Amino acid sequence: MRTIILKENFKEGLGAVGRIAQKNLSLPILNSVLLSCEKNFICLKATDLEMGMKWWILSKVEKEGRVACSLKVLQSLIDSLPAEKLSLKAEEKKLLLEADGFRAQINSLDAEEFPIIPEPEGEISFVIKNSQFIEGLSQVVEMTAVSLIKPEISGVHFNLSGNQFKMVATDSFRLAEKTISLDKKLEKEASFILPQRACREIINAFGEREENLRFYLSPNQIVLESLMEETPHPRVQFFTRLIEGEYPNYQEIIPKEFRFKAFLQKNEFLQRLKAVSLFSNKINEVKIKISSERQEIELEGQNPEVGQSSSVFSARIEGEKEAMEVSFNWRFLVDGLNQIRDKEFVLALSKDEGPAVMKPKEESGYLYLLMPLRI
Amino acid sequence: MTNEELWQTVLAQIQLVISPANFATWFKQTAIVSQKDGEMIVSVPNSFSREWLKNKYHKLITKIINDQDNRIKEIKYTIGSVVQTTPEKKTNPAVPTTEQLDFQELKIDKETNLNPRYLFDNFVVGSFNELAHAAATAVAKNPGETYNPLFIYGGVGLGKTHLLQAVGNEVSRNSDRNSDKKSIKYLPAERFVSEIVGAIRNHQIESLKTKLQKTDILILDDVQFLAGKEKTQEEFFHLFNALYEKNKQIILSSDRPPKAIASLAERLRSRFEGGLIADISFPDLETRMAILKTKAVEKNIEFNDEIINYVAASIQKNIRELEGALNRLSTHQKISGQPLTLEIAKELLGSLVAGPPKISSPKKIVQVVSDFYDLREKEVFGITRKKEVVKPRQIIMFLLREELKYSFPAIGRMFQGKDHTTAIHAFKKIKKGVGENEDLAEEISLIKRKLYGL
Repeated sequence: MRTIILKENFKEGLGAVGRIAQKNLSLPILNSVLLSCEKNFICLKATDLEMGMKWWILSKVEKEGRVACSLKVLQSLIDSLPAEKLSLKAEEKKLLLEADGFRAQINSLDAEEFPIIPEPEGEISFVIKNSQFIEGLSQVVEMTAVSLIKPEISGVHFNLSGNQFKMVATDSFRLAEKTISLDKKLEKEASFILPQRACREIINAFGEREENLRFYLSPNQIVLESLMEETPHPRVQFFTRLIEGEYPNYQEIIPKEFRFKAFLQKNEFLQRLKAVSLFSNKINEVKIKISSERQEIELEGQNPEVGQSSSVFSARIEGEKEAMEVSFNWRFLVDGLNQIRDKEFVLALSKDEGPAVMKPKEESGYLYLLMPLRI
Repeated sequence: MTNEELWQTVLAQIQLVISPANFATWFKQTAIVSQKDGEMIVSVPNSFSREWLKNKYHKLITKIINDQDNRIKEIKYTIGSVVQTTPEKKTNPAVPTTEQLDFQELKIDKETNLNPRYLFDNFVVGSFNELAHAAATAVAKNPGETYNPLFIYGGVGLGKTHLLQAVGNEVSRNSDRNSDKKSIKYLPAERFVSEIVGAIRNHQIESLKTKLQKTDILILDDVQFLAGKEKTQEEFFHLFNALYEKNKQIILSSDRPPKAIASLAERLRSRFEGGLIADISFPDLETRMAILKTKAVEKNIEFNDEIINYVAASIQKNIRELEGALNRLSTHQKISGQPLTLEIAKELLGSLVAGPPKISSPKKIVQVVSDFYDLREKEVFGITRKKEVVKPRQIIMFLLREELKYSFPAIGRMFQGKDHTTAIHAFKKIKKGVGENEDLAEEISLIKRKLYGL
């Protein structure tokens, strides 16, 4: 294998695939990246045997071939080189790297030992605009369950039906749902669950580019693919297993009626909440008192060791005459608020010990549900 | 040679030629699933193993298998379901365990609608629910054979739903153990009604019927909601008969006995009464204390007996409220980090114990009573002397006198200027009836409970 490549491109690729390669003591090959030169491309591959990524870069290939070498070494080396162009050459058990007078010989591993990352199967299942998909996914991805006791909810659930694409995550204390409207109706319906880690890597690898994202769905796995801008060749392919099982019927949780609706400024609310939260107790409790008669909201934090603080401000509130008090884990409130992109949002409270809903004032398909604390 | 033995041969030979790390990575959770007409299918846990076996070890595997059995011409690899290894126990450090409420709906089994939390094991038995509990356990042991249908009634928050679901969970556990799958369906009556309505609208009533007729155990909670819904009652009647004929178990619950459910078709009422009717009354003080102690152990928190005594003595008619009170105390104790004193407990539970003040109004009485007997409020004030209107009308008069201390002439005036003697007659008749007729007494007590939101 012999090739010449632009350093910045190489660095970007290594950065993306590098997050997949995990330290693995029993199978050291998994700590490495596989470089393979075919035709006019160099392809970088990494996997942890649950997911895998292939990243292609246009490059001048003088001789085809493959080599696997330690990702960590390669990454730190590239970071410290000032050169613009790199020359890579594979020799017996070595990778030779030359750049602007700099030479390095990196010990390599047997490329034959590198796991085979599965290819996309069958036809393209559906296509979605990348930026739209990634934005939505990043709004829900952090709400999945940490524990694996219920594997179904440890991942993000995707559901396509008609011209709606829904992404949902819940850890049973809160739930986030994002609905994307597609320009045209899909022929097939589909529903699947992806592991949370895979979703994070998808966000990282595909970023906010404008191109289209292609999905190849099969019973146990999914492959996401985006093409190069310059030429119709894949730029990235991301493979991951699906989580088996059926996602719970979450629609029933979303309340249809509310006792109160408050229309609030996001930044103001966030600021006041953070100040009050300094006084919250061990269970992160912040009490919200809401009164439609006075058109007022009060936040209160109380901790026997620190002290007490409250913050009162006026807001447009619709709802019952009688005031209501309810406590939340303030961290969960902040998590939801951070995903609301609008300046204004609606906080809706349902019955006692029932979930609260937060959503942007302007309809944008985002919904955040949160259970209160039992006090 | 069985498939299992054949694959063991393969594994035994392969481990000699590849490294232990490779062997552990690529061959764990692999097995032969089938062989037919010279084609063998090997299941692997994921796509990576499939690619690897197909590309790297295929020749070796084929050779070993052909040495044992040369009829195998082709070996294919498929991704099978993975045996779950014990999941790691990680918890989100930001989540306080007991105080943070969660979405109960997520725990509910999609097939059966049962919540796994409700078990016989955590059901506290006392004299007040002994019969119902005994009947429920008997039904769980031999569904469809002992008491069919089983009808359980009692007030709000006394454990009807718990008992009903416990039967479902117990049967499902037993059927899993004996691997004869039973189809169990738990439905709150409200949901049943909305499913019927939805099915009628979408012209899918037949498919809903066939689906429900396949259940082995049908549990319908709060059947009093069927009152006045004639079409649903009719469908339920047919469903009931179909299941009953096939000896499928039916379990029902309600807040009152079948007799007291207004606007229930007679044929359904008689069927509800055809099995065993068991009631759950109010728990006595000792049982309430036992319940509190059980719950405290579940929550891993300790209170002194004085406090337990106080809570049990002050909340008498609702186990759910009992639990709510306990939650409030345990939260306070955890946050403050100090054991509670009786004074603090009294203060904390002040609002719960005092309960909503007993306020009622003539409007509310009329509303609750006509609701209870499924009448329109206008009818009550009409002049009709139909039996089904006269009794509720008299009950309203009785309650106006007894609860609000209205004068008889004032009561008469409310009913289109009737004479005060009419009101006196009504009052006396109901008062006497309560003493003599148990059903009437029960109805009155139910109405009162509704009136004061107990």
